[in-house]
Amino acid sequence: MTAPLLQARHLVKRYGRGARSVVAVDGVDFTLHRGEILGIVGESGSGKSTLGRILLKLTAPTSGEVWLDGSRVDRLSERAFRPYRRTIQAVFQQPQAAFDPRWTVRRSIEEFHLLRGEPRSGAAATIEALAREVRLDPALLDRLPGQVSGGQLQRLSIARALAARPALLVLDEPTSALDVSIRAQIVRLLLALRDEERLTYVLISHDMEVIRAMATRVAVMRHGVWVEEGPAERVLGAPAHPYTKKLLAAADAGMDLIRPGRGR
Amino acid sequence: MTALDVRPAARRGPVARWRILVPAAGLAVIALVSLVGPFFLVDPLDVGAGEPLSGPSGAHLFGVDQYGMDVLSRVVSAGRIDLLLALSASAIALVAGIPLGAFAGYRGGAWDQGLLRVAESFQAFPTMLLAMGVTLALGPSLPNLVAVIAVVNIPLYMRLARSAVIPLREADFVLAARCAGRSTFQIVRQHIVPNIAQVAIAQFSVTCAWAIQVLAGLSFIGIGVRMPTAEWGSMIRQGTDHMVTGQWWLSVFPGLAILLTVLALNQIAAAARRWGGPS
Repeated sequence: MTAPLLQARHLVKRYGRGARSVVAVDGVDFTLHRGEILGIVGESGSGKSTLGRILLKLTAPTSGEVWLDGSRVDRLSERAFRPYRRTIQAVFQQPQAAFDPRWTVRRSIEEFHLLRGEPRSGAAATIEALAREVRLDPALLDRLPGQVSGGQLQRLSIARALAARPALLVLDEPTSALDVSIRAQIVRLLLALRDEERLTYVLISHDMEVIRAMATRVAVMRHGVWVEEGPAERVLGAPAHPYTKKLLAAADAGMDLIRPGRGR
Repeated sequence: MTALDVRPAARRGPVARWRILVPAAGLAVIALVSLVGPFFLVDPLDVGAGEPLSGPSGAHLFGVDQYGMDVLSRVVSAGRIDLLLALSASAIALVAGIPLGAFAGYRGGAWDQGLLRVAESFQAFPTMLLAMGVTLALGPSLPNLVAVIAVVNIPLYMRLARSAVIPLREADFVLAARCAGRSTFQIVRQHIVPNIAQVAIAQFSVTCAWAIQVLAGLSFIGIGVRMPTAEWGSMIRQGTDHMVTGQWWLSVFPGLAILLTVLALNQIAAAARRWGGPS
């Protein structure tokens, strides 16, 4: 059996020291295999974004281990981690904030294409192909981020992540900043790309509808603790932990308020 | 891409354009006159240019000073020295201060605290006093003046860059660049410094204006540029004795030169700040 793509072993992230310290992530363990979509749900401040950043090696854990594709990576220097950057990529919540405002989208995507270690000469064609892959007109590539709509820009940020040809994407609230109508398009796109590109996702979201539509496994996080984890149907259909039940009830109530009469 | 060319063209209205073009044109005229003027005017050090203390006339538009030197010629050639010193001192401060501050802000931690303390220790002194002290200690040569004005301004640029960088450090596009495997140096150079260019330009203009005033101030109290070299501040000082007896042209014309130059620089700074403001 091949090694799991991603493994977290007792991850802890503590901010500050002593009595006034805050524990953002408190002993998280999980194993993620290729092809899975792990949905991590929780309220704001539950530590799910911090966990995402630890997995992306944007934040160092206080203790615990991260294993990527069979190697331990959490103690590696930035330079030593660089080859792994190809494997794990991210899509952020705010597409407008995720692009350098003074670079054309094409140039931003090129920055990620460099990770492939391929000659620059082929980059233009590859990047245009990526734009088509996320169902966009390649003409948009030569615009600045401020000249592209939020939904288009989120597609482009997915294209940018794909430019590194990753195996794993950490999606941190990928649809939260978008209109409801565009949200569904992004979810469909991500699901289609998973099959086309054989991707694995860590999907961080507080949006139960998105989690329900995408996740194969669901983990519920509260105050940095992994309170419940299991196959999506089980956790969402027959939650065991009282907090999960509360979260699901709140989400249903909220959805009924926004769109009465629409069930899934 | 130029430093200011960030926003879609539609967002840069005609108002923003003239606000920067008018003072920039004014400054360009001042610089051009200072640069080529001396070739067409009498020697600013010629004590026999005219009758001492004679007022503005057709032959001497700005009058003649107490030594018989032509005031117009001196005001113009002083512009060379003042602008050159101000520009070079500000440029040194910018080139040293912005990368240091950007680095401190991006790295954070001990580097940030250490550099910040050094900057604070410079800023603890009133700048004019610091400039006076150093000039007195090292002697009032032109390179020393430039060095003093530059050193006094480095902490300003550092703090400016640092405070601009801190919100950028956690910006998603910087995190994205880290995901793209860029090094700290590459991120600071490619993503951070260009994004703080506008504040730096605004500050550069302010520093130039300030440098001209400090230079004039130091010369005015006699520890800057010395006679007979023409410099606006020292010219004002030379003229003050004669103000009471009615020979106003000795001080007023160099004073106007400072006023116009500083005004133009400050207006450029204000426009640059507005241009680079939050979108």
